Amino acid sequence: MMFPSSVPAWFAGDVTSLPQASTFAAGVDRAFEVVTWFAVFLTVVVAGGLILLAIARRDGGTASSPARRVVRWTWIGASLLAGVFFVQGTLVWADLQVVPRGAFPVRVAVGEKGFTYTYPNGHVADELHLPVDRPVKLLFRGDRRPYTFAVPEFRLQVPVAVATDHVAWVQPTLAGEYVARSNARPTATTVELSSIVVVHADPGFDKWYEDVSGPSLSLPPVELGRASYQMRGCTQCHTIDGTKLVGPSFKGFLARTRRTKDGTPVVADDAYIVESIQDPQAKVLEGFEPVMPSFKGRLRDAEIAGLVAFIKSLP
Amino acid sequence: MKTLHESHPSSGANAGRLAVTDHADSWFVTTDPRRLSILFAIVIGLALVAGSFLAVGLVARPLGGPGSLAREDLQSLYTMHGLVLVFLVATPVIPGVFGHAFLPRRFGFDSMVLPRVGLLAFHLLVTAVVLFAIAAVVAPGRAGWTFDVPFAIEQGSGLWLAGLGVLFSCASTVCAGACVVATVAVGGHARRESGTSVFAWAIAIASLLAVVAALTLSAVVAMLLAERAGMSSVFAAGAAADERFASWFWLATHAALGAIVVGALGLVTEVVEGARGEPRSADTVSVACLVALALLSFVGFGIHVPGRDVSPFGAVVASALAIASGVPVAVFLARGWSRLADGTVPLTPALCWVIAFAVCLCAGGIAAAALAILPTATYLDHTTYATGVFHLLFAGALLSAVFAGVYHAWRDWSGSEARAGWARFACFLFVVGALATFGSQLAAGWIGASTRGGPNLASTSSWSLVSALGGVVLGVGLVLTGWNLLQSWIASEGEARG
Repeated sequence: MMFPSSVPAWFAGDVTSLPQASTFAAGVDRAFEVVTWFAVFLTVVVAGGLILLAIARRDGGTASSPARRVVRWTWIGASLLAGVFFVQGTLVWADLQVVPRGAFPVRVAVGEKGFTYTYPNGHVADELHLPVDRPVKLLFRGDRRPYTFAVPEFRLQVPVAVATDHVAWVQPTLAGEYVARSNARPTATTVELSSIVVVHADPGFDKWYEDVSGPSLSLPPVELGRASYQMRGCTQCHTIDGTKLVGPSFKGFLARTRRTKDGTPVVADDAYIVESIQDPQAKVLEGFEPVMPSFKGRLRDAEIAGLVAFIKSLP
Repeated sequence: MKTLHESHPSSGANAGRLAVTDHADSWFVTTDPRRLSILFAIVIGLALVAGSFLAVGLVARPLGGPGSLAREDLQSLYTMHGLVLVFLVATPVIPGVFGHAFLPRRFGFDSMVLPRVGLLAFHLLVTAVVLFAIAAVVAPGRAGWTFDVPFAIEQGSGLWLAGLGVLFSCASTVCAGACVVATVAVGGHARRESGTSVFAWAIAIASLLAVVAALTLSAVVAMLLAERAGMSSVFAAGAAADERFASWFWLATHAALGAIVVGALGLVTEVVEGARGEPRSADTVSVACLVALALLSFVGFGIHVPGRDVSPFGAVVASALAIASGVPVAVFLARGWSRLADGTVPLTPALCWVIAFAVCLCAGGIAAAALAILPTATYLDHTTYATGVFHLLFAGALLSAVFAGVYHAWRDWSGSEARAGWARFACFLFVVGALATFGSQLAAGWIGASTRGGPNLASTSSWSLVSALGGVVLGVGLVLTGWNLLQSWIASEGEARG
């Protein structure tokens, strides 16, 4: 909380140092600048005009009232300005509404510790990695609390309603590291929502994506399964120490007879694990909710086999 | 107990002033419009002081650094600050104080039409004050003055009382509105030959709008309280519950805010007409602008927030209507300007506050356009930008209009003149402080500072500091204004006794 040494730089710094890091940041800024400068201009003109008027006429005097002309030109001027505001804003907003074809999809959800991002390859992370100059489709999953996802450098804020999914898109134009956060009211029990957003310059994103696309298939099955368990987001819902989270713990999971939600007995064997990975809603166990997404096509066969082997290896 | 009452009209220099007597009952059951206007002014003035003290805690937060105030305490401060200033100051001040002060005088009546309803409005407001005061002690929780769902259903033990306070405030608004509308209707009819003033039109239109908004708000808050009591589950259950509540709440409150702007425009017109010394009846253009603004307030501002999320078409329509509301305001101001230019313009304290009103209305009104332009509106939602716009309009412009009205009516109320030099200086400090405090909120919001006690970004600390310093200047301006008025009243009382 100190005054910077350069006052002018300090005064202008906060606003002007906010980079325009997405394709529609410039459009949003333009709309904002028009509004801001017009507000400043009109405020100065109105205040100055009224003060000058009061000083000039303090002792009386008459003037021919230009009322009709003033009102006519105010109608025209104000209507034109309102039209400019509306058209400019609507054009930028229309661009925001239509997700480009082929946009890279990333699923965004809210966990107990903050935002989590799921990539098409099944990789789950608490950082958002994006490619520069490529459109990215963000699919937000509704939580039991309303939240927003805001990245000021992108001039993007997405409101996500309770239990309602939302889609937005962004095309970053500037590589760098930013912060995403929620501007909605935090709950009593949850932390502030925030995460790092990394925009990779070419070809950095492709390399990063390849690195996280899964463990090496040359690993022994149990090791391959352990690596998949850690890299594919299984840890979000399944523990290996017996603790119950959103899903059942893998510890002691196999070879036991369980009951599904409709009471049907089911044996937790290899086939059941494979089926649960590829079609998790088929047989949901009693005591759990059908919230697991399907990993069909997102995990390679060797990884699924590795996961089975890894679960079997647990005591 | 000493009380005030009207002195005899023929008492020379003290004609029309209110003097001290020993009859308390003549005070609390009075239907005299001037006494009621002073009663409203005292209660609303105390609420303004209380709400401003709550703001001191919020302004001190950036100066105190991170952790200087626990989040729960901060949210309680936000909640009570908003509740007190919106429902006990901004909503009742124009019909309660200035409706009673100016309308009977304008129409040549001894009292308002439905005078007991006006008295009931006052007592309902006092009840709301008591409920808010208890809620502040019990702690209203973190739901904010907007009663955010689901927080408003699940948290805040004092929120019950705050909700009841809002219901009583709304009931007061309905009563005061009925009283004002009836008086304007009867007065306008009686004086149809000479026409009705802009102020009378404005306050009647604003009151009608406020009554509709208050009834809507009462219904939605009552449903919320019923839900807290476990008697219903309209808002908490199922998807989009928060949007369902917000749609109703914002429809009502945005319409009420429109009513406040319409009333403030009428009030400053009354002051300007009074300063010119030759008040005249309303012209068609001014009244048309007020009606247009009221309609756009309801259908434009009102559906803007929910409409944006309902459908792209709804968002575009709501945005167009909300932006269009600036046109009648601009024309109304231009019309007033041309009236002002046509004659003598003494720079009285009241007129200084009119200039302050114009400055804050221009700055806040145009900045508000960014909240109606779709992409900027979405981007700026939940940031301090919205807070800055709200404050410029309803702390800067509304309070300026109120002080313009107070200085305009001061001689009639107190029988004395406030010191003009101090009044101008205080007004200057108020405007500078308001622009610094609330302008900084606009800038901080643009770079992502969140409202409602969200994360306090290091990058916005410079603007927080400017805002805090501006708040100090604004506070000094308010204190000086209060001191100036109080000092002139005490001097007047001394002269009257001497």
